[in-house]
Amino acid sequence: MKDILCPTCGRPNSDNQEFCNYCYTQLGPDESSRLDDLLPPEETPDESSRLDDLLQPEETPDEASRLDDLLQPEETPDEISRLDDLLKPEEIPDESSRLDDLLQPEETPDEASRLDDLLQPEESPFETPPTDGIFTSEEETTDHSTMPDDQAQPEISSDETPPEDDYFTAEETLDETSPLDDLSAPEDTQLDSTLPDDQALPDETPEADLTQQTEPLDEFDLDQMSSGFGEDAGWFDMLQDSDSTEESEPEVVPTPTEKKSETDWLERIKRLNKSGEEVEDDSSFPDWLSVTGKKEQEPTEESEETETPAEEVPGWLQMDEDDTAVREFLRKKDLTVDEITPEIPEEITVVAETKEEKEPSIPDKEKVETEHKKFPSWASAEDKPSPEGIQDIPEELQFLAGISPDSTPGKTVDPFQIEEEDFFDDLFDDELPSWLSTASSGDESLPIEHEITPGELPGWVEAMRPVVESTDTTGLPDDEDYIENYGPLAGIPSVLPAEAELALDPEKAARKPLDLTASKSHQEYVNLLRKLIGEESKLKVIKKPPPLATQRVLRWLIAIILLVTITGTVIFGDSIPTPTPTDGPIQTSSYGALYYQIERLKSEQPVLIAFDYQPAATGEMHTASAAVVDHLMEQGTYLSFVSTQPTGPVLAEHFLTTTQGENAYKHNQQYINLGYLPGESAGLLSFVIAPKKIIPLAFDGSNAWGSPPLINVNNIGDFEMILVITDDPNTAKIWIEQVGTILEDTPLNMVVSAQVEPLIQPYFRSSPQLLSGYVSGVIDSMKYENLMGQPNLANKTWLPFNIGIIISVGTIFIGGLANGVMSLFSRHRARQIGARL
Amino acid sequence: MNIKLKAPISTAIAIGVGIVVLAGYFIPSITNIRFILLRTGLVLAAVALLVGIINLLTVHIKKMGSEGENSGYSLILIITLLVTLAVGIIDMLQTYLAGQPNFQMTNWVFTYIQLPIETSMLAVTAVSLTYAAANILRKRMDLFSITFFFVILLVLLGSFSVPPANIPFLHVVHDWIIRVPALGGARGLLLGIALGTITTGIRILMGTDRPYGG
Repeated sequence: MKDILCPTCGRPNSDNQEFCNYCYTQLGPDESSRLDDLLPPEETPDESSRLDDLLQPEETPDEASRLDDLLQPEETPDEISRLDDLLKPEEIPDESSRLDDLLQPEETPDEASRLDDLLQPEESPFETPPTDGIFTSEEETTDHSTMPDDQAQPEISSDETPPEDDYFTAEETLDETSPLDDLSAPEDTQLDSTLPDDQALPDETPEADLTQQTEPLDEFDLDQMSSGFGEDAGWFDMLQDSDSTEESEPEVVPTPTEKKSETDWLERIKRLNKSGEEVEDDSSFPDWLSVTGKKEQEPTEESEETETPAEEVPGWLQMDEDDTAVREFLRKKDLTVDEITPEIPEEITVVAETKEEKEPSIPDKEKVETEHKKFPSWASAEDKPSPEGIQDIPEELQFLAGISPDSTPGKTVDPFQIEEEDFFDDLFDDELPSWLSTASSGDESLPIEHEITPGELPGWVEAMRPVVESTDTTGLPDDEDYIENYGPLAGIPSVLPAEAELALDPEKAARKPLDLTASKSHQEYVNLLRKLIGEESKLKVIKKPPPLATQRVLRWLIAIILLVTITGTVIFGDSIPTPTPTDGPIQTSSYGALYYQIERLKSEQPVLIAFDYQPAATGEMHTASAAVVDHLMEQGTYLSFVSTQPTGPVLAEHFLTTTQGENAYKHNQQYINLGYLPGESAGLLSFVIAPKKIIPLAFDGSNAWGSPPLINVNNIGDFEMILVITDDPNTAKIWIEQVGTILEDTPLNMVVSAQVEPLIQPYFRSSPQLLSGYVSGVIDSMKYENLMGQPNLANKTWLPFNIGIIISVGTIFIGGLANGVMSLFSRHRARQIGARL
Repeated sequence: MNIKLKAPISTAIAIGVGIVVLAGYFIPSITNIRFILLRTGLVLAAVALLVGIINLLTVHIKKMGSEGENSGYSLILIITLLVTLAVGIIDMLQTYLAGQPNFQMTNWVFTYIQLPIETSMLAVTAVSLTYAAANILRKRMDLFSITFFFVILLVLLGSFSVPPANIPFLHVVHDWIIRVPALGGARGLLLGIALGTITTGIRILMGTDRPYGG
């Protein structure tokens, strides 16, 4: 089984595979394309390959007949037309049809056009037209077929060998003479196209027959490419495996031809050689098409060098015996010239002598014939069939053999002719390319074979190849030092392998261990992460919380204790004697300052009292302010109630009803309820400027300022005292800032809740005092009552107040300590758990 | 041409009124102008209270119509508001007709409905504060929490004079805490409030801050 090298990765694959095992590249696309080209007419053709199909060297006579069957115009007009379509110039594809390009004058304006210009049939009217010209239209084909034989092939003599066998023998030597064959292929095709229309084809499927010819075609193409591309053949040889090369090697030997081929196209080449100087500077010509053959002379020279007699020492090795330096050197070394002369190995001498002996053994006649071997066998007259053989040729194929239907039997017509006998001498002289010379000469082909054989690299290329070999057999890159093992890039490091990604086995790649350097801490982190992930998947039993939480019990316990004790003290507190709180210096105290100010008030002096507290603070505020208001009433002052709170007027009425019932103050006689003062600070500012204008009517709709104490009140400074009862620090601040800053002689005092005391204290303990005095909460009220000597609400609530504070302090202390200890234990436990984790 | 005059006009009014009222503190001759502006502001504030009541009524009427979960509470609020309003109007009419203050019905509503409810709320607050103080070390055990905890205990212990806990030292500590740390803290707080008020006033006067919209 022959291996096929993958064009992508260069690895060998069996020939029965369509795709590469390593990179999955499609193998042998040309084969399928060639087959497909012949089958469907609309697909892209490959004219040269199809022509080559017709020129298969392995073709048997049966196959030839099948070809002829295929070329029958009557029954398979489609195939013919398909061929014509395929050979249309505009459909000619790539470089594989380079020959056709050269034969298309209208489409190739470059170097090919130059060749075509040179190939113009100026001298001979029967010169072979371009292939495309033949196959472009069916009319032309018909014209050719209907052309008189004497005009179509005027110089064919009946003595010349009929061309049938030449035709097939030439196909057998297509490989080694591929350039010439390429040039001759149109001629053959032209012959095929000149088939008479009335010839019947056997009823066979042409596609099947052509399919069987694909494999030899490939070999032919490879050889043609390798030999035709000259210098480019090296890379192509690298792609070939040794087996295939060995198989093709015998075909390199040209088939000996004893007689010159006489054709028009050879004449053209002759003319080209003569006029080759005109295009010798044109480097755009492929080497194998070079008409000057200058490039090809190099290997010829090399071969000549190899044929240098072994006795002869090269000039650069020749020693000049007359050189004085050499003589001096020899004299010092006591040597002679013969001693230092290099000795030629004996084997080389023997081989050279043997070669010389063999060459004369060839007869002169054979030498002459050997020289003609450079021509295709089909062009030689050596293989001309005998007249008997001509008779055996069926009529349909006689035109291929050059037999004119009108000619007498035995008279054959050679489709290829040459005008002069010594045409080849003129043609293949010094101007011929070396490969043509070597191909036409059996002796000269040997050095070429030794020089470059398929599957081998040229010596200089081999020397340039890297010698580093990779031990990697997988073809996968392990690191950056990957070295290619196969293909043209073999031995070159740091190459991206074409099959790396495709041939990568994901399972093996996943199992490939990572070269990570993990420290101990990294491993600990990995273990911790693994543990955390593992614990996430574990089920945890969440305990159902108890129906009654401990803290909720504590809350209820606190409430019950406070409720029971305070209620009990309220009910039974009167019977329990309680000491008064420790009293400091009264003069410097806030309640003492207020007390002395009230003591200085006289009867009927207007006093403004602001009830600015919320109903929720009624209990504390009533207890705190009862003694102060009672003191004012005792002094006989005229009270004016105002409030910046909507509920203030009602609270004032409620206060008088609940706390000052004993004093029996009467509205509009002893006090006036001015009602609600909207606008907060703005309202207070307006009230400070013009109280009568801001609140003209009292709470009950009566004239607020009609009472005698208020007649002289035009601004807030006209009041003898201002007392603000509030539980809100912001309200106290507004009163101090908006009213206290304007007041000059009128003192501003306050009865505030215990929570407000820290905020109003700075106004009392500053200089000048914005706040003259204040009573803060139950404690100051208790002191105030003690100062007055008249127990009031503060004394009544003092014992429950103290009991409530004691219980609260006890609860806070015990609960705080318990919670603190529990918090410490829980934190310690959490640390222990964290340490365990 | 679409010209938006609302924002510039309102801003100009706010800035102008603010400048006049502020200047009234320093320029006695414009006190009357300042007073007119302040009086207008009081009327608008009273109207705003009435507008607020109407808005509260409208919102809860809409809530009632939406048949939500709290539509029953909205119904109670509307009924209570209307009853209290009716009681107040009746008392006002009786007072104006009789010439004597007569707010018996209003006092009854306030004394037996509003006052106990709000007082009870404050009493619950006392229990909650006690519980929070006892629980403070459980929530947060740091220096500030411990300090706060023991300051509460010292101030409370120094507030009463019941014999077992009537310790003169605690009263001295209580007074010192009230007069020194509490006073210093309050002064700083008041200064901060004053600075904030000044900044806000300047922003409003410059039109940078427009709480009235626009």
